[in-house]
Amino acid sequence: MAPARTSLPWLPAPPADFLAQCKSLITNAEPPGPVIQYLASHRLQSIEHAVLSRAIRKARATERALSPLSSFRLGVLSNSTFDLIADYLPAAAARHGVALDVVSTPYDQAIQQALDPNSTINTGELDGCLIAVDHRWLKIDRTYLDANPIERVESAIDQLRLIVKSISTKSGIPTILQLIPTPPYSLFGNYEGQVAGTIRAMLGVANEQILSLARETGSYILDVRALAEGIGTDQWFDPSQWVSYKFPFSSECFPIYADYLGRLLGTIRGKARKCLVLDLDNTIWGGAIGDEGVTGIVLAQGNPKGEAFRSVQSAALELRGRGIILAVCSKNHDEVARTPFREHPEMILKEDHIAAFQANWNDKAYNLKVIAQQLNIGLDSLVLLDDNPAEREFVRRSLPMVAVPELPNDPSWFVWYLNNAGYFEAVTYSNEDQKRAGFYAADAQRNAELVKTADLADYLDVLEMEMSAASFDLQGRQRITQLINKTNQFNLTTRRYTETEVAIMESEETTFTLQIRLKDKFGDLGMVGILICKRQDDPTIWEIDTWLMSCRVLGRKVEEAMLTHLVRSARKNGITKLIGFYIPTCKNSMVESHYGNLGFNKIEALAEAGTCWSLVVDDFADKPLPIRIIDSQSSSIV
Amino acid sequence: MSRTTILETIQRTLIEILDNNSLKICEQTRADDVADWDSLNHVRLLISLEPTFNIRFEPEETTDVKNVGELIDLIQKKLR
Repeated sequence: MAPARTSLPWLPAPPADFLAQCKSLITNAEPPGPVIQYLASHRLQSIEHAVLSRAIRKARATERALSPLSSFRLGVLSNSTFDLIADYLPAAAARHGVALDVVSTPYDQAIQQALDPNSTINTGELDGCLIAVDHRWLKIDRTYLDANPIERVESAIDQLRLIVKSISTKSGIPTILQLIPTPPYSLFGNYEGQVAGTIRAMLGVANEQILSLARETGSYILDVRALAEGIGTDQWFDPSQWVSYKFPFSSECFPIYADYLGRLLGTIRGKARKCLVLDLDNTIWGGAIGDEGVTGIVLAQGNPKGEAFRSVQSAALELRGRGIILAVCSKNHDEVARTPFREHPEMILKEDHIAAFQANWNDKAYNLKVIAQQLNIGLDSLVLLDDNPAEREFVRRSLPMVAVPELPNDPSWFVWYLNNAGYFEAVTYSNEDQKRAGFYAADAQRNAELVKTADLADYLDVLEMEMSAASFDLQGRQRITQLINKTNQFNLTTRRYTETEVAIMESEETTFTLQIRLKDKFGDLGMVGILICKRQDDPTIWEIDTWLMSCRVLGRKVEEAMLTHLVRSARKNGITKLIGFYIPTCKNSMVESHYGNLGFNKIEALAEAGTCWSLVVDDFADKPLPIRIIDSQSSSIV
Repeated sequence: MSRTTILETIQRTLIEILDNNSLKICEQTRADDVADWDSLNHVRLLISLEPTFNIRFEPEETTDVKNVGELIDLIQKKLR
């Protein structure tokens, strides 16, 4: 029997003193951010969601830093009673790394709110707006056998388009559109789908058009259709609660709906997980390799358990195919643990799929730290899949930022648990993502080269690096937005911008932008750096609004090459001085002395902590660099 | 389930919904007697009690309920 996703079964049960912990959040001396995220990461009931959400609201009001949570103010337009759903949202968003503030609007005022420039939505200094409407708002709530059904769908979508465009023009914030589930009702039974005017047929068309509307306007999609399908529309739609309370769907589904929205907001804020760490024995094969040997472990096709474990491996490989890094963390002898990857004919995962392999007798928390270090990603990017409840509990206690889903006894359900927990959400998908897992393999080769040459300067020369710099453009826009929202460590100001804002910068006259790509002899590393400069009132000064770099290219003098290019561009644009800021977060201490290292002078410390730096362009002297710089605009080597 | 147990559960739930730790209710308490126990918070109470007792209220059923005692009657009836 399938587990009910409405109860969030992949999360562990909350601690006994959950409510007390929520209430002491504000008064505690401890920083509230990590505690909020820890509390949110449990299987919460309705009251627990509401109490934690209230604690988050109070914590936001104190203006204490809630780091590592990122702030998000979400406006909601809805044609139903949304207040009670809103109770669940901040708790669910915190689970996914977001300190959420929900700004509700009056019932059924979507169009008015969107069109009125003085409305809450347009003046609320929001980060985004959710348009939570269903088939009833679209007026696709009964069968239309007389009129032209397609016209009816199109006029409904036109209303949505009007809302999205109006909000975008008036406030510049992105919108979140919902796909619409079909109620479990039919007028023709099995023939339902063949009649154009049925609810099912019209919603089929409407959803396609909502997807194109999202592409056309850069809106995000909250896939309520897939959510309702997964739960079953019999359970999703509750006619009794609709007539009594105007709930758009059953109150039992509020927690999972909130979680879906939380995942999306977390992903918009760059919090999606990046790496799946696999335990081995009884997680990706049956039995213990140390005891049974390669021929003894259960992994054969035709054997139910064997096929169950193979399905876990397939799912992991699919994730790798879209750019999720795979790692292994197992209590085993290294050689023994690697043998099935090398020798077992039914293994779907091979050794070179695994970017970090930690099989030893250290505790798992220690090994997870090593894995994060090796891959140069945060511990909060990791998900650990482990069949052993004691190990799961140990890791959650030692490293609460690592996601560790609960798993049932039956391995056939492992993929369901991993998949439905929603760790690896995406709001964009580019070719670069596809290649990412391969980047890590190339990194391993580069490390081998370093060991061989032993001298860093020689090593950098051997790499034959080539850096290209170009202004922001349409082709780069998605990846630029992704880097701006995902880069935490090498990021001087950690300012986040939406795709719409990035698009505006492409043509803004006072803004100078750079997207940096890097290649070396081992491969193309793709886009690895972003610079945004804003011209000040004094037109000879550029303020460096954003400087970020992917951690994959640390220690290769890419930042020096970026500065060299920046100075050249500054000279061409009549700029005589560059001003840069370092704004500390809990993740970017590695760039604390970035500007100092590059020869900037410290002007002052900032009130909020952080520092301000300046560089006189004429004082900058070119240094020899192991990187060839290509100006992609003029296609000339400068 | 005893009336006292149900009463205590309702009180505990209301304390969290209304964010009022000192709230005390008895069988005679009416929503009007309690600050902030408005219609929205009433719905919050009902949908929190449903999973706790594993019951479902039907439309109209709760509109006739005049005080906490009658809500307990209704819950007891549904638990039977």
